[in-house]
Order: sequence, then C-alpha cells, then structure tokens
Amino acid sequence: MMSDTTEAVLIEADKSAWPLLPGERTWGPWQLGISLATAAAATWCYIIGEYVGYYLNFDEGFFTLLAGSMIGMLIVALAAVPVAIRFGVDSIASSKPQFGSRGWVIPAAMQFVSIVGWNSLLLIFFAKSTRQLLLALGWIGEDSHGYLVQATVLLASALVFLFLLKGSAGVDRVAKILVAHVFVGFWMLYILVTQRWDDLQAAVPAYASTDARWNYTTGVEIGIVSLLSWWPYIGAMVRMAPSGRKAAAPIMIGMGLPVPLLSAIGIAGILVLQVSDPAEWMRTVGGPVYGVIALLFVAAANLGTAVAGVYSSSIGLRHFPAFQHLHWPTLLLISIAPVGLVGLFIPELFFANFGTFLAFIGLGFAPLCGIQIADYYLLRRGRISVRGLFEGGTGSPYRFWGGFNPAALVAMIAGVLTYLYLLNPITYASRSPYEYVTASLPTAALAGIVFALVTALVVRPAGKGGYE
Amino acid sequence: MAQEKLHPELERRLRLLEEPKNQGQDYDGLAWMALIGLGVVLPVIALLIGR
Repeated sequence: MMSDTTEAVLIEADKSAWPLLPGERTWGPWQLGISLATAAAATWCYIIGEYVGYYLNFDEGFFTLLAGSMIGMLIVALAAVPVAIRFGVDSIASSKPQFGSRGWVIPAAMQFVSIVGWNSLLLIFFAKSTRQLLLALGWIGEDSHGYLVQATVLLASALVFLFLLKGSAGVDRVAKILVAHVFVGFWMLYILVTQRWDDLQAAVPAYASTDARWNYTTGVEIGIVSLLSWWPYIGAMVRMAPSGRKAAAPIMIGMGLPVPLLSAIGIAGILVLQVSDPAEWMRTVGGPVYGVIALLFVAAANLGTAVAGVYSSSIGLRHFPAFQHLHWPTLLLISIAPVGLVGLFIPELFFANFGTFLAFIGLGFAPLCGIQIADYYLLRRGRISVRGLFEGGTGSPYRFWGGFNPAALVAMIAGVLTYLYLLNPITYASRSPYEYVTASLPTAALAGIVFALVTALVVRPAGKGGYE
Repeated sequence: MAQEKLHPELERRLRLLEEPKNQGQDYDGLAWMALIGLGVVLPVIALLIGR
C-alpha cells in the first residue's frame, strides 16, 4: 500500500514539470487514446472544416484534411514525443536539448500563446452556440447577449479550474466522461449527410481558387497546421504512458483521426447551410431537440479540450523559476485568466481571424518540429541527458552560449522566412512551389537542415550541446 | 564538473532516470509500423482517393 508521503510526492510530481518515474506512468493505450481524443475533438474541428469547405467540395475537403491531419500528427509524434516518453517530461522539457537551458522560453511562449488562443476560440464558440440556442428557444432576448457571453466564459473557466485541482487525474476523469461526445459528433454528421446528401454533392465552395491544385494543397496545409498545434498538448499527456509502443497508435488514432472525422461536420455544414456551428444547423435540420443535443455536445467537447489545454500550459509554466513553487491553484488561475480575458473582451476579433491564427501556428510549430526531429534522430541519435533537461547552470550540456543555442535560433528564423515566402498567413497569398508541397512541410524540412548544418559547423566543433 | 543544487525530490528522480532501466522505451518496430502506416501510407491513400 502506498504511504501518505509517497502518495504526496506522486501527486506533487503530477502537478510539476518534474520527470515522472516508471511507477507513476500508468496510462495504458486505451486511457491515453481516450484522453488524447477528448483533447483533440472539440468545436475547433468545425471551424477547421469550415475553412477547408471554403476551398474544396465535401469529398476533396475530407480526404485532404485526413491526409494533412495524419501527416501533421506524425510530425508532432516524431518531434516532442520520444523525449517525453523516455523521461516522463512535457513538451517544453523535450525542447531544451535544441533550444538550450534558457532558450526553451521560445517554445514555452509559443505553447502559452497557442493554448490561450485555442481555448479562447473554444469558449467563444461555446458562448455563441449557447446564445443561438437560447434565442431560438425564446428563453432570452437579443439584449441579453453580452451578459450571456460573460457568464458562459466565467462558468467554463470555473469548471476547468475545479476539474484540474487534482492534476492529471482531472484530465483523465473528464476524458472518460466526455469522450462520448465524439460519437455524438459522428451521429450529427450522419444526420446531415443522410438528410442533405444531394445538396452536399451539389454544393460549390465559396472561395475556391481557379487553380484546383492550390485548393487541394490548401486542404492538406490546413490539416497539417491544425495538428501541429497539438505539440503544446502532447508532452504533458504522453508522459503518463510508459513506452513508445503503448503511445504510437493512441497518438495517431486518438489525437490524429478525430480532427478530420469531426471536421467533416464543419465542411458539410458550411457547404450546405453556410454555417459550421452544429448547434445552429442541427436546429435547422432537426428542430430544437437536435439543437439542444448539439449544444450539449459543444459544451462537452470544449470543456474536455480546455481541461487538457490548461493542464498542459500549467505544466509548461512550471519550467519558469518564478512558477516552480507556486501553489497549483494559483498556477491554474494564471493559465486560465488570459483565456477568460480574450473571451470576455475581444471575442469577435479573435473569432474572425481564425485562419490567420492557424497560419501562425504553422509559422511557429513547423520549424520547431523540424528542429527537434533533426536533432533527436540525426544529430543525437536518441542520446539525451535527462539531467541536462533540468540543470541550467554552467555545467549543463544544454547551456550552449548563455543558455541559448544559435543553431535553433537561426533555424527558427530560416523556417519562419520559408513559411512567409510560401504562404502569407494574413492574406493566404502563396508563391510556388506552395501548390505542390504546402508551406509547413518545406518549412519543417528547411529548419531541420539549417539546424543540422549550424550544429555541425559551429556548435559541435565548439564542444557545446553535449554532442560529443 | 560542479552540479547545481536541485530540489531533493527532483534530484532523486534524475538519479533514478539516469539509469536506462528506469526510462520509458522509445518507439519500437510495432510503434514505427503504426506511425508509418497511419502517418504516411494513410495520407497517400487519402490523397489518391480524394483526387
């Protein structure tokens, strides 16, 4: 039987960025897969589907999104997961061998902004859906809109906070209950497809380019960047599993597949009814009862994802010295507060610029993943110092120069410039060869190559980085 | 090489994890099959079907 002291240490580790020991990493494939699926399957899928539906018909949209999502998932699985799995650490710790004992603040900042962005989107979506339904039912008037959004944001934030008071146990508990929403999502897709199949097949995407190849590639690109944004989430969750064997299939199936499958709802919705929010179109198709079911689905989906996101960002914040010894509830509040503020004060601005947000995800995480893959598989060949992940002093192998690795900085800049050359994240204007290769894939590849070159020519000869 | 003073519990964990037997296992052959099958083969098939 576990002593009180041992249990207290285990609970503490679960709420810290400390590496987990084998006995603490108890999630099997099913448990991991369910938790990942709950995190991935949220209403962002509808918005992702909506953006694909602007350029492609239903069949093309679904298959390009499926392809892009699985490619994106593979990239993340190769970048952050190996170190997370071996040492029971989160995504931020996994980036220290590349970015350095201080340079990790770059991926940490990207993680925080990304998770705040996604969670804000979820809360805004939920608030909009709630308003739509209550208006349709006649329970509220137009003038109550502002109060409703605020109340929804605060309620959701409070629930996330309460669920996470017990650390990853909260993620697991919520996942087991809320995973049912994934199946409700498939039922909704079935309703739309069976009732509106002819309309769906006849629908024409609203903003399709005259270049069919560009449209097709853009579907793949949207899938890739959407899944690259799982990088911040994945480490904190896969570290609960004991081995790569037990994690690989759950990652690809649990976290990769739900996005294209549920995004099909968004593609269908925008093509047929010009709206991707299922709470709105389910009411149109099946009346108020279907609308209520859809809204419950939206609530369950977004809550589960927000729980996983806030947990991951809280663990990430633990790497900052100022937050290492902070009380867990206070840390949770710091993670949740920006989400609430965005949801309260700039919901429309954020919601209207989702495409730009997605492109910026690709801009940041594609080079990051390319750098990690090149470093782990090509340069280090799996040799990582777990002590180096947590020691930042002069003796640390990942100290580089003042805690920063110039190879990572140069590679990130090269990656960002590559992406910007290929695809403008604001206007979506592109340059060749984007229509053949997407923007994310060459960005990741070039960042990895630049990182490897600078490491081989500068870092390794200087005896830095623990490569010897 | 001088070592940093870490939290005793973190130090204990690092000492344990420095032994390979206490580390999690990297992807093995079965895991690579799942990764390649779902991350490379499936996308290729999807792109061919979607065309």
